[in-house]
Amino acid sequence: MTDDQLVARAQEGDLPAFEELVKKYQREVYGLACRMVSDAEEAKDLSQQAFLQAFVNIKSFRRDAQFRTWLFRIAINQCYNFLKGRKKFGDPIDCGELNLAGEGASPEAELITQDDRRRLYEAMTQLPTKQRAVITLKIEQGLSYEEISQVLGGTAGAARVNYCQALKTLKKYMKSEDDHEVAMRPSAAVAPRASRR
Amino acid sequence: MKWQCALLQRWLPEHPDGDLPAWRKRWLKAHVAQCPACRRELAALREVVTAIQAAPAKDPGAEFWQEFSREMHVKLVQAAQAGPAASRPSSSRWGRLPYLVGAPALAILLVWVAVQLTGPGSPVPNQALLKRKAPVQMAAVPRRAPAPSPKLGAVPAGELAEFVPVALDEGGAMPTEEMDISGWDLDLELAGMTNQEKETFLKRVNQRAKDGSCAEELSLYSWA
Repeated sequence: MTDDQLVARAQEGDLPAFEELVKKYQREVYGLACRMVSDAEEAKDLSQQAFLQAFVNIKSFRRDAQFRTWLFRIAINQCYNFLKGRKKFGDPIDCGELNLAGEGASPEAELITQDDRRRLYEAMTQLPTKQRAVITLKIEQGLSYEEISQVLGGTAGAARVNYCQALKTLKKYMKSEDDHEVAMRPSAAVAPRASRR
Repeated sequence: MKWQCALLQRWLPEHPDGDLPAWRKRWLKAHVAQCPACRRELAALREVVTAIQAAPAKDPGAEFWQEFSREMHVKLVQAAQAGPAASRPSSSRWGRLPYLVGAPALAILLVWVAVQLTGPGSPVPNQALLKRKAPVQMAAVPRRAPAPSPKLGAVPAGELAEFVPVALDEGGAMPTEEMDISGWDLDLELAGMTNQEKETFLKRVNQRAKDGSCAEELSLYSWA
């Protein structure tokens, strides 16, 4: 059943149809919230809250945009409100709170990979909230600039500028982390990675 | 950095398959092919994108999603039960119509009333009526007090306390105003006086009559 059909049924008060939509998008919304707030437990609460808001306001959804885009917009707003409430803009995160995905490689390779990811997540938290949202929506959710502008407001051009700026900031931050790591700890595990860049 | 590099590096994340115009794609491709600095920049940006793509948030597992679905179901059922009551205020858009219409109507009515009361067409108070009322008030004041007497002790302190504020309330003009005693009932006034007071009073009335004036200047302060 397509999104439009499920949404139409949900708008008539069909709860199972909406639960079908929840199952379809729960991973994407949860991943988006994880990226935005860098806290797995909060991400769960926020994604549930986003679905709840979507359910309560489903009748006001006019179907001139995709349901997925509308849902992302609700989720992003929930994350913004959470971050405003906690005043966590720019705060360094505790990456231990995040579940870092492992590839099942050797323990040493796994350690390096996890270290890379920790640095990436730290770099992500240094970004302004909007740029973090743009990066996540563009790279992880695969949205076009037009769709990103529908989610975040503004224009597609502004989304493109935010995306480019975010990539440059991440590049700078990760490079400076590399340089710092090489200077402080020129170990055998770090040296190949530093020379690679 | 050349000006061309600075210009084109804004579009580097879109190279080679971004949504750029065809002419800009060709320009970017030609420039990257010949500019080592831009090639390095492009490689660094791609590395960042690859790192992000390679580090998705870990799927929390089937148990997490079962719990998520269960909690979500409970919340949705609660929201569905509370839904009709909760959505009533928002759905009853027409229910607010009386307020939306009534508020401007009330404002217009108040403005109209204010204009009618204070505007140029407002009813002017009858000055003649006001003038007629004033002597009645002034004449009433001495009636409440005993006749003017040099002996202040004859006037009770309580009555004086009543009179002084009345005079002060009327802007302090009272002490200097002339009081018309032509309307007094002389027998009534004399009945409450001692012989000495009667003599003094009648002497003063006669004195005024000789001067040709029936008005006697009385002052509340002179009594005091």
